[in-house]
Amino acid sequence: MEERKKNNENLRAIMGSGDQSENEKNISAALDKVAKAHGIDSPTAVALAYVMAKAPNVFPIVGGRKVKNLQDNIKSLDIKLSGEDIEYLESIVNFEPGFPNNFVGPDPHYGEKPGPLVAGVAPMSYVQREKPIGHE
Amino acid sequence: MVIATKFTSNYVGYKKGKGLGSLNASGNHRRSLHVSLRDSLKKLQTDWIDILYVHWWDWTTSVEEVMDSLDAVVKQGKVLYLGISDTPAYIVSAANTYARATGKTQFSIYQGRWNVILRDMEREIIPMARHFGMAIAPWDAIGGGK
Repeated sequence: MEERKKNNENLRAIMGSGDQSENEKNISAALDKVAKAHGIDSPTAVALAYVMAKAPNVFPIVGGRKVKNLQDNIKSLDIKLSGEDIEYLESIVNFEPGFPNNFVGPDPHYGEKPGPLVAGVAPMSYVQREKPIGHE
Repeated sequence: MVIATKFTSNYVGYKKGKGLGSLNASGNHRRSLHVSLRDSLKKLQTDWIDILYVHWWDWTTSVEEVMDSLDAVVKQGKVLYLGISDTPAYIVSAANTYARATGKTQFSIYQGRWNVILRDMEREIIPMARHFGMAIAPWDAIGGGK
């Protein structure tokens, strides 16, 4: 970020301010940490890997100002994030699924624990569906 | 290479300005689709579009009109697949259900804002996409590089 300021490369200001918010600072650090654990130096590649690991058939729309941005985007295709990576990234900024998701729980066919209503009836096992290609 | 484009936003505004002159060339209605697709094919110098998106839901055109007019351009061979962007999950679900029930073309892909700190799409959109076998094209996927 310091490097970018020095070179007068402003952040995208089309939506919101041209500065980093607290959440953006924190998630950038977390993405960087996961990137290093995977042996790469691109937090943006991990950000792209994240959405590709969360659902099947995800095709992120990418832009960029430099060839390096494009190369970083391509790196995301080599990253397979683990359940722990995803859990860690999602712990940085709070997300509320909201009603009715937090009432009936998530779909247990995708590795999630069944919600309290159905779990209260009987212990059940669920045939697991396919994992997204970006997932370990 | 896959060629995708959208209709809905006012693409004649730069010459017609705000007001009546722009109404027929923007929005989700049949006329807007007709002229926008005609002009896109001309500008892109192609005779078909791989994916045509509804850009954003305009709240003035019925689900039936949208799906009927989109299905017509698919059957004409001008468009191969349909996509929809920036639209509530229940509208897309109603549209796909209508299309399936009437032998028309459903949306194959949803485009919306999704990244590791803006996860609203996980509430309704992502499960909907799984249900209908739709792909997802997230925009703002790296949060504008911030």
